[in-house]
Amino acid sequence: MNTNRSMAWLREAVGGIKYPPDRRKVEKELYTHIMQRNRDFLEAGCTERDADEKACEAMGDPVEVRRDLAAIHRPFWGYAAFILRILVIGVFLWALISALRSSPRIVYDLGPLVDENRFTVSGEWRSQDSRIRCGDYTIRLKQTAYGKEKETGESCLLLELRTFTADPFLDPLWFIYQPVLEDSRGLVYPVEQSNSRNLVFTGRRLLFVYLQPGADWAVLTIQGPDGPERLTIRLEEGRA
Amino acid sequence: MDMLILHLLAERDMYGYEMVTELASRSSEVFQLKEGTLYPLLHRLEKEGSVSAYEEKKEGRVRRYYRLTRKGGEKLRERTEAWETYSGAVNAVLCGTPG
Repeated sequence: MNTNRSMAWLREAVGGIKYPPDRRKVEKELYTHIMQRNRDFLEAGCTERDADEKACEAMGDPVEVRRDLAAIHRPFWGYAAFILRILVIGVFLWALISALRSSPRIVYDLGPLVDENRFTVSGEWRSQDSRIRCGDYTIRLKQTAYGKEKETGESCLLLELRTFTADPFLDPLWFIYQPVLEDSRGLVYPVEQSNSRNLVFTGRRLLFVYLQPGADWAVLTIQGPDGPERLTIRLEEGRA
Repeated sequence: MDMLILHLLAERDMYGYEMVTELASRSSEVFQLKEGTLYPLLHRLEKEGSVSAYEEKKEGRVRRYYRLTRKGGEKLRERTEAWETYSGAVNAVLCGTPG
């Protein structure tokens, strides 16, 4: 179907509507009408070109229609409605976040997880960035610090791990299965699990190892569903 | 023209093209308005709350139907009364009978 003139008529008629969603809505309605008129002329025996011309003629002066449509569909109201919608969504999100924050299951304490009755942290926390994929979880080694157990005086390495999952049905605080640490000298240590915290889609867990001094690096091995996964840990010279 | 459109919608929900053809056929082709001019009128009625619009797919085409609202019904009644008064007065003058 040849509809060149009809399309030009349509563009002219809706061109004065400055708010795009309104313009598309009106354009769709007028398009349906003018195409219906085209088909009727074709069925009445007109050629495609004649049908196109007659349909435009039946629709009237596009400049006049443009002026009238533009006067009704003022962009101010369209944009005002759009801004109002954004504000409503914003208020809803704000209320949702506030509700989540006040939930007792979610802890927003982002400080170190160390139990101060049990350990003394010596020196600063050292940031690490080593991660592995374990089934539906990503496990990230966030930071390490050296410490001492208050009761025994033994030195230890403290490891903070973050577990992430995008699956809302899984507990983000994934238990670290059979963690073992091996240092650069080939010494193997058992790893113990201490405190943990739950965040939205994120779990935080503190591990500690009684590590002999003198290692340059260590590797933490975790049992994942597809076999052992390894996280490399950089150690400060002259410390553990 | 508002009154005629509202009257058509008082009978059933209609889309623009249907209104144009209905007006032309009922008026024996006297009311052959330029079809594009119907839409500013319909959108104004929608904006003032006299009609509401909804989309419906029929025969494979999505059409925007208009429906008379309660406010539109009241407006139609007022306009019809005013028209009857006016046309009665005109007829009285033309026929030379007192109103």
